[in-house]
Amino acid sequence: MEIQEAEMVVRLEVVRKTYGGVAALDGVSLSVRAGEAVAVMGPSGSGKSTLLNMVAGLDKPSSGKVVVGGDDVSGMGEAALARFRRRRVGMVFQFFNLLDDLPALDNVALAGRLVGVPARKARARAAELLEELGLADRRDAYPAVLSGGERQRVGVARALMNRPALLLADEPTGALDSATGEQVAELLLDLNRKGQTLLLVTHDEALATRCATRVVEFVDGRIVREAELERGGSWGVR
Amino acid sequence: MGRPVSAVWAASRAGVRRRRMQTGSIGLVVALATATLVFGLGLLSASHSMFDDAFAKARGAHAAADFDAARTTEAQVAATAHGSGVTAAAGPFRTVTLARPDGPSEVPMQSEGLTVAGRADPGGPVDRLSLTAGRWVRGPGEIVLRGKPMGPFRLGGKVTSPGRPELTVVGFAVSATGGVDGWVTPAQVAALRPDGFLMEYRFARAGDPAEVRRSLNAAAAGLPVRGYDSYMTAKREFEGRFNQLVPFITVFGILALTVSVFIIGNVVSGAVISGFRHIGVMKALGFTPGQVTSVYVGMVAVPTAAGCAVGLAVGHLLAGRMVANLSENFELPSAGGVSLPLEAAAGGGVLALAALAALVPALRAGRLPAVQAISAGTVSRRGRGRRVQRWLVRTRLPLPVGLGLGLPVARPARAAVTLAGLCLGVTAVTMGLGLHQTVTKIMTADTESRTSVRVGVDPRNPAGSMSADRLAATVRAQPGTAHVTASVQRPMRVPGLATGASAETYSGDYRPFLGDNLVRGRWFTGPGEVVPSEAFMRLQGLHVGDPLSVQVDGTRLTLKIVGAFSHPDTDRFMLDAASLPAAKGRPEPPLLLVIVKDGTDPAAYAAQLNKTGASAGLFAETAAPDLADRALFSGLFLVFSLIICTAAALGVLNSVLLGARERARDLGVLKAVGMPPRRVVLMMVTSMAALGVAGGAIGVPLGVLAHHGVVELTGDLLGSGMAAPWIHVYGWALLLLPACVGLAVAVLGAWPPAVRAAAVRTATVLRSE
Ligand SMILES: Nc1ncnc2c1ncn2[C@@H]1O[C@H](COP(=O)(O)OP(=O)(O)OP(=O)(O)O)[C@@H](O)[C@H]1O
Ligand SMILES: [Mg+2]
Repeated sequence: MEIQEAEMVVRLEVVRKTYGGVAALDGVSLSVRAGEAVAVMGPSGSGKSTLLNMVAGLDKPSSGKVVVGGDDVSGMGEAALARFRRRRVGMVFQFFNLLDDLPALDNVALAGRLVGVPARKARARAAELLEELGLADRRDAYPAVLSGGERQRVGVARALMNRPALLLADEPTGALDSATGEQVAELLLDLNRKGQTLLLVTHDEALATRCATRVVEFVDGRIVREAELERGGSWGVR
Repeated sequence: MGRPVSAVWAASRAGVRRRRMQTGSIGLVVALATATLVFGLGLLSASHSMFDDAFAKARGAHAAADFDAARTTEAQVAATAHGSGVTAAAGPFRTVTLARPDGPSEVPMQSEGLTVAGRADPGGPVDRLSLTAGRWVRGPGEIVLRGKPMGPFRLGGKVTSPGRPELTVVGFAVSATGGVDGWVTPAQVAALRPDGFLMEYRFARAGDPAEVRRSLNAAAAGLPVRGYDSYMTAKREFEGRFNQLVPFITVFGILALTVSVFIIGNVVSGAVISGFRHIGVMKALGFTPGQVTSVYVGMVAVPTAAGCAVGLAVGHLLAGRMVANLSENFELPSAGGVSLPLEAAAGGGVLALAALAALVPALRAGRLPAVQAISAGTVSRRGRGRRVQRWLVRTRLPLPVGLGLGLPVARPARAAVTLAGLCLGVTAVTMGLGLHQTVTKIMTADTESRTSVRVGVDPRNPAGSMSADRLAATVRAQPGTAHVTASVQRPMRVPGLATGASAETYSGDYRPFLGDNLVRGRWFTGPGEVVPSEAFMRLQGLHVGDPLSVQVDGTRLTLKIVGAFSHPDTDRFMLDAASLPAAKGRPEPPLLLVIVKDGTDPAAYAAQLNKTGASAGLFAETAAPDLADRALFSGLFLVFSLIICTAAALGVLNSVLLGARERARDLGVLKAVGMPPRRVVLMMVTSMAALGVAGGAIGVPLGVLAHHGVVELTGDLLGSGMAAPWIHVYGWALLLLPACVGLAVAVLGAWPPAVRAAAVRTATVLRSE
């Protein structure tokens, strides 16, 4: 029990979220263990992003409990949530959400600065990360001149800046063509292999089968299917 | 036709609802600006025609004539009301002049005494009086004095006169007409043994002093007139005091107008521009360019109209209050604030201005292609701005500060407009503070304002024949005396001044009484030196060091000009009494001026001197400094600064609001990667604080320059010159204060929208992209 607790990175207990009476999440219970890569799938409007926002502490459940890394996110105040977001989780968005006014390097370093890393050290780590992700020569480029795949890789680098226990990604390949999507998938898979816990939302079956160790399917705010995956295998239990 | 119109309305209303804070701030800005405008117009119209307005409103008399009761009958005098050229008349009122008592009087009286008229009520067809304090006389033993309570003139004071019943002051009233000093009931005046009739006339023709005299002669039709007061005298006297202030009031008024026009234009057009991103959507929905324009104009129409209405009402009250204060201060009946047509015009002007400010960008919005409109709201892609932002983020500055300082760089045009608003505000406040100091100094710079107690000499008493030095010695013996000087006015002939001049001579310990009103040179320090008014120096083209030949009592002598003091009259000269030959015959008794020691109460000092010096024929009065003018200006300045600062703060608020809306996504990103709301607030506030500091740095020197320009120009226009201490009024504190105002206004203005922006739900913002 003790050990299990410690290994559990995310635990949702009967989480409900309603928007004006309509339930976006309807009593969802879900756990993610350390080292897992969980893919959340389902039709549009089924509540996938709502779930991710809940885990990222960007939104609060109407009822139920969201525990991430042992902390009850649903009970936190704004300042505590901000601290939680910058230390515990890293987030990757469908539309990258980089700051247009800063070059790639500073977009990544920014996350480090937020946790109090001095400017110079933060830039050094950001440069390292960008190099790891194959963007060494693009570090001074502004988001506007980067390709979609490059932007997403910058987004991933930013999410990894503070070595989060959990990496969250909402449709990370949703705005990319299949070839660049492939690159990003490769990157995520690689990260997970190195031990990074992943929770990703996607429509993209290829991405799910490629990176995930487990797939959860949502319909109308409920989990309708859950399956362990043989990585690299097929969407087995169909 | 109904359908598209209602669609436009619906879109406008939705726009208003979605931007409550912005809509509210537009309403508030317009209200403030309109109030400022009406207030400014009130100042300008007051400076232009205050006497005439007050005179018209009070139906002031062009002439107040005094008939000798011994040589005319009441019926004869009453008949002059129907004389030719008389358009209205009041009276006859019976009058009597109460002689000054030998001893001290509770109510200071001129040596010629106090003239009172019997008058049943303050209204009537001519010379309507306005009470400034207390009430009108109701029965015997009561008197209403001209003016307002001030120093020893107060309600409940007693007017005593030898052989006449004592009168209690029950009220004070002002009149736009000269004539009498006080009013009692007709029954009371009968008991005071009246000896004259007062008739007040309004004439068809009264354009200049000569016309007033001709009109009065025609009306009197041969009845002997003992004397008369022309309204021209009152007008001249008023103008002499008021004209010094006109340039300052005008500047205040013009500043108010400029600030309000600027802020309305800025805020309204900013509101429209910030909505550009929705244009694409509207066009996609099939709105025509005309309809898009209407939506944007409609969006600001409601708050503008509401703000304008509120502003008119507030401005009306403020201006009315201000004009009432000014009038009271100059002992005139109040003419009310701004005239209604002018206010209506101001309201119309504000609406037209707002419509123009909205229409220009709205028309552009209508014509803008959808795609371009969508990108119009996004952040600039300018290289240099980028480099500055990158550099700021890479410095050792805390992250929110570095990011915040970069925000104005990203939007240089908006930052410039916001900065201009802040500069204007700081300039206005700096200038206002300086003008306030200048006016205060002008009002307190002369000899009179340095004096704490004035001591007069009754010529009928033994003291009347004492020398000025002996009198001064007597007063100096009184405990609490710090300095005494004896001042005597002597007629003097000066080449170039046909009507003659008056020499104000001082003897004894006069140095501490000489004020800060020197325009050039220095004060006289002994015999042989003279300090004329600057107006005289300019008239004659004289310089410090030039000789001046004068003639006093038939003796010619040459004096050396050592300086000049600020005054618009050309016939004033100040010098040491020993410069002039002794007067022939019985000398005019001097006026003794006293400065009391620190900690001595002037009133107690005067009372004591009245006790001990009465037998010698000395009577002392505290020199009531005219603090009312200062209070008035302080009030005016305060109201004005507050309005300007609020307007500037709202400009900042608006700018932050627009910036936050544009950057909603960036703020969401920052929060998503873990920036706490407090730091988001810090970032937004920093961006404006930088502008506030810049506004202070630019606005303060501009304000100082503008102040110097205005003050020097005023001195030149009046011909009186301005003393150096009136121009160089700015010390460190006075410069630091407006500089801080810039920062404070920026921070206060940025705070509410920054807090709001920081509180926006991140998930909502990020999903909307
Ligand atoms: N802030 C919000 N306000 C109102 N309704 C919301 C909000 N966020 C989500 N919803 C609603 O909740 C439901 C789930 O939305 P969610 O964004 O989680 O779906 P999703 O599974 O991520 O869909 P997609 O695949 O299209 O991204 C939807 O019906 C949506 O309209
Ligand atoms: Mg989604």
